[in-house]
Amino acid sequence: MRKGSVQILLLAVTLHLGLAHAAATLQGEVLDANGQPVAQAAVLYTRPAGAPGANVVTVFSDASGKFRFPEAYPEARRDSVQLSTRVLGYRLADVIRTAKPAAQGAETLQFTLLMAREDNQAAVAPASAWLNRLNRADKAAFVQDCIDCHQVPAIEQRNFAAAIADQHAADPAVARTESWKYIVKYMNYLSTWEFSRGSRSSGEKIDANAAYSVKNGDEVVKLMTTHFTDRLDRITGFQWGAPLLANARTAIWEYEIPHPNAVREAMLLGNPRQLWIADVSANRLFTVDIASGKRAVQEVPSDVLMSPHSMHRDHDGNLWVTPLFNSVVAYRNLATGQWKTWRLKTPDGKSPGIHDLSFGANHELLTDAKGRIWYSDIGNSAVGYFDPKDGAARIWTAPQVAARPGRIALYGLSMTRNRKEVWYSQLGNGMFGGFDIDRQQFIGPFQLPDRNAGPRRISIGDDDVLYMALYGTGQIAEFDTRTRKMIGIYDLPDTGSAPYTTTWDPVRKVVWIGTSNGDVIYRFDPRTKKCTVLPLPRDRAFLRMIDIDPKTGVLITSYANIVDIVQGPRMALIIDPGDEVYPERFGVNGNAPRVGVAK
Amino acid sequence: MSAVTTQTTARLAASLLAVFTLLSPAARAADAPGAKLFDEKRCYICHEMDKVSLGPPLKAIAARHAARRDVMTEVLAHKIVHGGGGTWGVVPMVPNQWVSLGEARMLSGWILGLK
Repeated sequence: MRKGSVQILLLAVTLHLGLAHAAATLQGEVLDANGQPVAQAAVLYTRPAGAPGANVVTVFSDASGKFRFPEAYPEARRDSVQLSTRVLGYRLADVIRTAKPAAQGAETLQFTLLMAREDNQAAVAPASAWLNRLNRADKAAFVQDCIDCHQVPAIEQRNFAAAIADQHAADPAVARTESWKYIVKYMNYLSTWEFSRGSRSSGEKIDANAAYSVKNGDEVVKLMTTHFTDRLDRITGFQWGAPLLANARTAIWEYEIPHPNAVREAMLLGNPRQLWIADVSANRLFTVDIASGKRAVQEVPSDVLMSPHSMHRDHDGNLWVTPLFNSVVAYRNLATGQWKTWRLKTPDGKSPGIHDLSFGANHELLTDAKGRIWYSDIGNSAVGYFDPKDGAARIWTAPQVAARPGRIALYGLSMTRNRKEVWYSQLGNGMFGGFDIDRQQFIGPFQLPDRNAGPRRISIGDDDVLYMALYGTGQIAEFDTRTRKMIGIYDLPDTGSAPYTTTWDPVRKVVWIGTSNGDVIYRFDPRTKKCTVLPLPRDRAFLRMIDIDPKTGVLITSYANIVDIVQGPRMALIIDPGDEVYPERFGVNGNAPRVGVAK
Repeated sequence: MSAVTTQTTARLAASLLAVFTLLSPAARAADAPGAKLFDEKRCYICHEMDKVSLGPPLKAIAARHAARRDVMTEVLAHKIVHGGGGTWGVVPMVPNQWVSLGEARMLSGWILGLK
């Protein structure tokens, strides 16, 4: 490091500590009943209402059990700080608190967290753990049917299983069948309600009986009745399935989004950096200032319900928003604060149901050589473009394959490096394919081995390798778009985890995989074909797209259980994996060095 | 308008309201705050007025608990929020955490007043 840089760094440290005059740092160790260190334990600091910044901050213990939180906290007092832990096989038995004054009046609060062994993993094991009762085929079908919208069995279903058991019915099997049938019908209704946003009039009811239209509803009931015969309150022996990637520098900042909302995706944008979070229930996004925690609502100017769903960052750091299956695209210039919206219509009068815009390897919006933006059209199972200059739009319907039943919904989209092809996934029938932009011809389509593979959001690597999260089968597929060959399909550490999304990391050269049902993020290394696991701080961590901050490499994502019967967290989160690969270090208070991490 | 005319108009309006109320209990029920909450909280997914749906008919609930209306208003309010089972068959009721206890009391009071 050059001398000038050292001076600036020292000045920054001095300023930072000076400003943190009244704030306390939190550190400590995690020990088991024998006083031995518990490594890679998640330690959560749940901050009181009104504290500036994140609502919950999570760090992990190192090999000697030591942990330290990344910032100093002005509200932290020795006797009021609430710490909790999340470790498979353990529960927090006791917290021993001490405090010592540090330089310039700031305090260092020291915590010893005593852990007790806990065989019953029900409080920590993810919903996916309970699906190990099902064989692979049944599990894939079940995930495809139910986990589109929420975790299964989330705590709500597990409580319901207990309520069924508590009735002590004369014929428990009948009670289970009738009760789970009721739940499936009820969830069908809520799903119909959710996905008709924008197409039903205000105050319009939905016929509850008509909503029970899922052909395989009875199959779902049968699986639940067969496999969920107990109270679902005890589970043992679950493992994450691969080494944890958490280390002492790993940190997770979680920001709650004010109710009511139907949060979908999140990104970190602008200067100062704010979280932008899409809410499909209204024409709005939330913004959260990451340092102060100040929330604001950003209205999208649209005369129809736009329902912001997916978010895309362009090379200039501006925001593009796509809707919940309608034809409105919105653009926000972060510097000027101006919105621009387009309501697309093709020359033959079709309205595209837009899902994703064309992502490139840097997870930024890419256009073709003519400046046109491409999109996946879930409504017409098509790919198409629109020209931001004049709003002109066109779509091409994807080819169908006989004997591939299921929802043909065309979902994810990525663009090759030469900007001549887009590649897509179809979530309901295990298909994917490409589209040659110059020739206006489809490439493929290609079939995944299992119809219930369920490819969702996809990404493309530096060498035009396509990475597809296979929701149903709990795998990742690696496909070379240049040779049109499948490189491999690999089981994730937990095949019930319902991987929703892949994001290529252009600096780390790995793929980040967000799951809906596993309360984890996986890091897949294409060189070794192996995964490591980052356990998330809470249950019902139903993830959407993962974005990567291009400067600091932190991951940004959100928890977004869709239907409100599964309450679940509604949060946006920022994750520093703690690997220090990116050139700049992340800090919620700007790029000042974080407290407590020796560099 | 004179004071006498105002009084007469008010009496006439009150009489009309009384007649309307007597003749149209359904209309009265539909206008109640409880009825509005019933729609707003989407209770109709599982309950209908006088038919068995996923859950028991509202009027059947009212008839069963008519004799203990005061206590059951509170009991049912808690059941609306927290769920529970065993009363009407083998299917438990789902909890509704988004309904506050105050709203649930308004709902249960309205349901138990149905005829």
